[in-house]
Amino acid sequence: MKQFFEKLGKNEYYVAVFKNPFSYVTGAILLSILQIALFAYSGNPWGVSGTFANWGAWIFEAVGGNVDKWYYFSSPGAQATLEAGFLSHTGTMSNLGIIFGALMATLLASQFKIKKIKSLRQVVAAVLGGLLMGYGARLAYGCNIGAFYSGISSLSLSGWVFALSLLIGAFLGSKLLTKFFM
Amino acid sequence: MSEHLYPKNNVTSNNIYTTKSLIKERKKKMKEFVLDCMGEACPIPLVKAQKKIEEIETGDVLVVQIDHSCAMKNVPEWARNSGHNVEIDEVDDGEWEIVIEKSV
Repeated sequence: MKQFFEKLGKNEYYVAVFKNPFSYVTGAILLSILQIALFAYSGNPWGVSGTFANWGAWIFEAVGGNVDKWYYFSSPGAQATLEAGFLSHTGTMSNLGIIFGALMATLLASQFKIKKIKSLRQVVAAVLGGLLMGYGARLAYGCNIGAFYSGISSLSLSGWVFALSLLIGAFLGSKLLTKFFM
Repeated sequence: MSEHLYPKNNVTSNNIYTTKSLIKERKKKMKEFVLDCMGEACPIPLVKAQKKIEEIETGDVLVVQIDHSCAMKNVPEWARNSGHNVEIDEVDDGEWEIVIEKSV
C-alpha cells in the first residue's frame, strides 16, 4: 500500500493534475466555463457572500428569531428564498461545494495542514477583516464574486465601478498590511 | 635570518592579511538566512522575502519557510523574475522551504 502511494506520488499525471497548482490561465478558463454552467443551470450569476446572509437568517430563525421585518429580507424574492430553505438554495450548494472542494483538493495534493495561529494581532486582523468584508459586501449588494466577477462578465457597468473601488481598497489595505504586519 | 625571511616592509604579512580577508569575505558570502513565515498568509511571505533580500549580500542564501500554498507560487515567481536561483523543498505535508540564492 505504501509502495503504491509512493509510486503514485511520482506519477507525472498525478503531479500535473493534483499536486502542482494550476496556472492562472487554466484557472481562469475553468472558472469561466463553470460560472457559465452555473448561470445556465440556476438562472442567477455566481455569487458567494449573499448566501452567508441567508445562512445567518436561517440560523437566527432556528433559534427563534424572525427577520421578516428586516429591510434586507423584506422583498418577496428574499422571503421566498428563506421560505424554500437551506437545501433548495443554489448559493448554499455552490458555497458548500467550494468548501468541500477546497478540502478535497488539499487532501488529494497531500498538503492538508492545521496551521498554527501566529499572534493575537493575526486573530484581530482576521476577525476585523472578515467583519468589514461581510458588512461591505452586503452594503454593496455583492462581493468580489457577485458584484465584480459576475458583474463584469454580465457586461454590467456596476462591475467596473466595483473594480475601481476594489483597487482603491486593496491599495489602502496593502498599506495597512505593511504598516502593521511587517 | 628570520629578518631575511620575513622582511619588515611587510610584503608577506600583507599577503597573509589579504588571504585572511578573502576567506572572511567568502565565509560572509555563504551566509544563510532563515525567514519563518509559517502561519502567515499571502502576501506577507512575499513582502517579507522582498524586504529581506534587500538586506543580504549577493551570494547569500535566503530560506523562506512557508505553509501557505499560494506563497509557494508567488515567492518563487518573484525571485526567478528578479534573477535569483530558486529551489523549492517540500519538507512536510503542506510545508515548504523556498531556497533563494541572491544572484544579483
